[in-house]
Amino acid sequence: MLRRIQIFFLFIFITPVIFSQGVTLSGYIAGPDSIFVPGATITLSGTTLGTVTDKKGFYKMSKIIPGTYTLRVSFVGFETLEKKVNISNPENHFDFSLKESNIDLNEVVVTGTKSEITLKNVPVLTQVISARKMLELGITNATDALQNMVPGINIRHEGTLVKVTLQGMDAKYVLFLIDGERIAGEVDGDIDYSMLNLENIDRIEVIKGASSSLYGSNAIGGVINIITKKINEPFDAKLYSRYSKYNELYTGGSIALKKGIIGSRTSINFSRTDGYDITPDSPHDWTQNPYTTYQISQKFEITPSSKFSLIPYFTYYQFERANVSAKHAHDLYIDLNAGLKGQYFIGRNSIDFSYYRDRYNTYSILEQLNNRRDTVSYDIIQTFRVQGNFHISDKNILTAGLEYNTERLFSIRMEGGIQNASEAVIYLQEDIHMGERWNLIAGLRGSNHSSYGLHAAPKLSLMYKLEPFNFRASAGTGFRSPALKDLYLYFEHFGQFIIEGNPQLKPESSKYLSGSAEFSRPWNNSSVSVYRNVLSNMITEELVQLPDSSSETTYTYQNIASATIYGVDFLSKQKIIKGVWVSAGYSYVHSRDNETHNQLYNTTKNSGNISVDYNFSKKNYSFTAQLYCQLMGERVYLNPDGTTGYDRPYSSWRFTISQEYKWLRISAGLDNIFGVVIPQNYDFISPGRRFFVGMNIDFGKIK
Amino acid sequence: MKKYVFLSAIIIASIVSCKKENTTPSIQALTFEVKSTSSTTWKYFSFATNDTVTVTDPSTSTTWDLAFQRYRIKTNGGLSGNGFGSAANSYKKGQTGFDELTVIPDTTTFFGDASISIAVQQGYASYIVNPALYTWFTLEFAPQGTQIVPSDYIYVVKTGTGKYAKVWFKSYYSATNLSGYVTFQYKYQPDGSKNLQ
Repeated sequence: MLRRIQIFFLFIFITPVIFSQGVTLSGYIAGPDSIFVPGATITLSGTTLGTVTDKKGFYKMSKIIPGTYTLRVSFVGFETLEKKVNISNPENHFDFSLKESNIDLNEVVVTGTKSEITLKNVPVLTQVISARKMLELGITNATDALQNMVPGINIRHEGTLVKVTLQGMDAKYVLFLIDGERIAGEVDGDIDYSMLNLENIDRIEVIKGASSSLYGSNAIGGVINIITKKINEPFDAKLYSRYSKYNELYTGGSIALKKGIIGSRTSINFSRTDGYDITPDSPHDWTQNPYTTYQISQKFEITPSSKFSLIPYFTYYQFERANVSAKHAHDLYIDLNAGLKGQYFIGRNSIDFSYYRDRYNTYSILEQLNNRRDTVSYDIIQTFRVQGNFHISDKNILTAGLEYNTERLFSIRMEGGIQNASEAVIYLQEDIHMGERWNLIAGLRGSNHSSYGLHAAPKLSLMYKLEPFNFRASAGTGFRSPALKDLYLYFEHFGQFIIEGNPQLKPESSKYLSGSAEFSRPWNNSSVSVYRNVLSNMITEELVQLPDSSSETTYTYQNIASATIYGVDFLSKQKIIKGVWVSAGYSYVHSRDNETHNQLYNTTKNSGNISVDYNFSKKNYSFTAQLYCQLMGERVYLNPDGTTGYDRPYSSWRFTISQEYKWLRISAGLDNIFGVVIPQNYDFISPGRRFFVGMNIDFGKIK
Repeated sequence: MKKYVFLSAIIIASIVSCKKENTTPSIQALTFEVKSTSSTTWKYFSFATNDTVTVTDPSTSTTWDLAFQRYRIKTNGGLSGNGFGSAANSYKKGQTGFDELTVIPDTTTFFGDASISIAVQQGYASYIVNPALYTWFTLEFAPQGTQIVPSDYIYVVKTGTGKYAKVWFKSYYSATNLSGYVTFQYKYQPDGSKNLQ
């Protein structure tokens, strides 16, 4: 039996290699006025194949197994082209022309369904922030990109911590992923956002609302999935730098090569700042601490055949914060993650497998002891996953997956120092098309967790298409597993009080309902969505008198709080005249603690943004300018003494100009145009008006 | 015990003899880190022994000079003890201030321990501490916890037995990044004079 299985697998992997002689596909990609488009990406669905057009707009793919495929051509500023092609001759030639567009609903997204699907066909409303857009705006970190482009996302800087809220929920209820994988080292749900190096990012996908049916714990308020770049070009090398006041420098480079079956992409990044302090009354607590970070990433893409791909990768990251405090120590964070992804196509069906490990270390550097490095905590997460995508019929796609997740956390503030958790998961998703207009997605995730046992999370999404409208509705549950800290913490505060974990905790859970309408025409894309999220079994710190405890006060965690959140999001993009677009976003969130009937802390009822973009391009040259305004309403927060505080509303303006000539891009801008400084507001830590300049060199475009 | 007294007498004599060319003999500056991590018990310190001492009845004993509980500091006098303990702020700061303060001016007003009201997490609480020494730090409130930042003032302290010392409280944090470790630099004059060179 075992031998048969071995032979079967051998057969599966060898067949495509034998056939990999295959046939070829080539052609030209042109834009308007028949100008050829260099650098456009061409992919063939159901295969591992992908390439980019050369300087003449020519592309060529070989080793294709004859059959019918969906060919996809994409390039920034153009509408992605999707065409069914029948490839049967030894040499096939297809030319395509692309339409210029600022709205691309043919763009591929993956977060909503765990499989590649175009934006206009995904039943879960997805917002995409492209790397190109971030580049044009001179934005170099993921949190700025999110706050700028996603209404309802709020970034707060509490000393050294960066805290994110989405639609009134803090980061505990928002899941951050890199290529669908969890990120180690969270502190109350917030990860180390400076790890997200924009140079490696292709796009950021944002889904609001519960997605636990696919992603499990923490996907209550939304999922933010960072998609890294693929290797399609034979040669690509880039250098970039951005400089701003306080010696804030962000620089690095990348090199990508693809020859035969192997592609490789290496990138390094360095950033630093002298920091600044806008609260001079506390000179040992800076608004922005000085820091230095280094990052190196390596990714290989091995494609032995058009049906099989293997992607090993790793990233090393370190962040060192300089000491400005009255203490004699400072922090050092080191992250090392590595993984292996594989994909195997059988006809239109595919089997994906992946292994991923991420270790995040927090060290204390003891300056008086020869800079001794003491481990404060480390967090190791591992995921094993096998997923099948089966086209049962043209109208019915089944996705089924098995997953095993483990986490190991060491902290000096935990019972026994080290604690473990593990979870075995099965998830299923049915994507059913009913006629041309209706699309239903039903998902279910069942898991067995080492701490609280069995748990199920279902979700239903429905879409109705009525050109130019798309209507979507979702109902689902979300949950958040109690963190290892919630279960096993033991922290004694100098005999004053004790915080103790509670191993009996159950997951926090939510019920989510949403509906949205999207309008799309080449000159306008708008969406409005309403939602309601009810959270129960929320874990909060409660004062208890434990029977065996002495006179000391003990706090522990209990599943008692509940909250109701509802709101409306609005996004719109409108063409004014050729090259000029106006975009606006607005988010209203009503949140209520069901016990106290107060608004949830750290939430803002109203937030929004407006921007005016101008684009001009001709052969070898492009120019973009943007005036951007962020509006933030009053925020409510909890003072350490138990009273409620309010941050006053503010608006922040930025102007950016970016020019690209052949291989060189120069960007310059002015941040916080009106020089607004609001000390003590953790939402808005700008030190005032700041100029920035950036430069990008694209060696791939140098002849 | 006698042996040690004899030995230290020799050491002092040798120091004095070494520095004969100076008009006034200089005393040695010492640094001590007291572990006062508990918020319920006090740690007692003696300048004469340059160490913490065990005290059975702090209200009658004169062997201790300073007492520490977290960031609170007592002297052996006023409401705290039976000794001559008291303190004054010289309003000089840092290493320069420490070096400049060579003799205690006769106009210095010393304060004995008293009950003062201190802001705590919820409202106020009364503590018996030395009111002059209570300015040794400032609190800096930060989102991730409050920091105790030394004010770097140089204090003059009268010991339990009525001798003088100058003290600079330099840090509240240990080399291993724990709080409740008060590090101070001082010069103690065992001869009873106000000379602190």
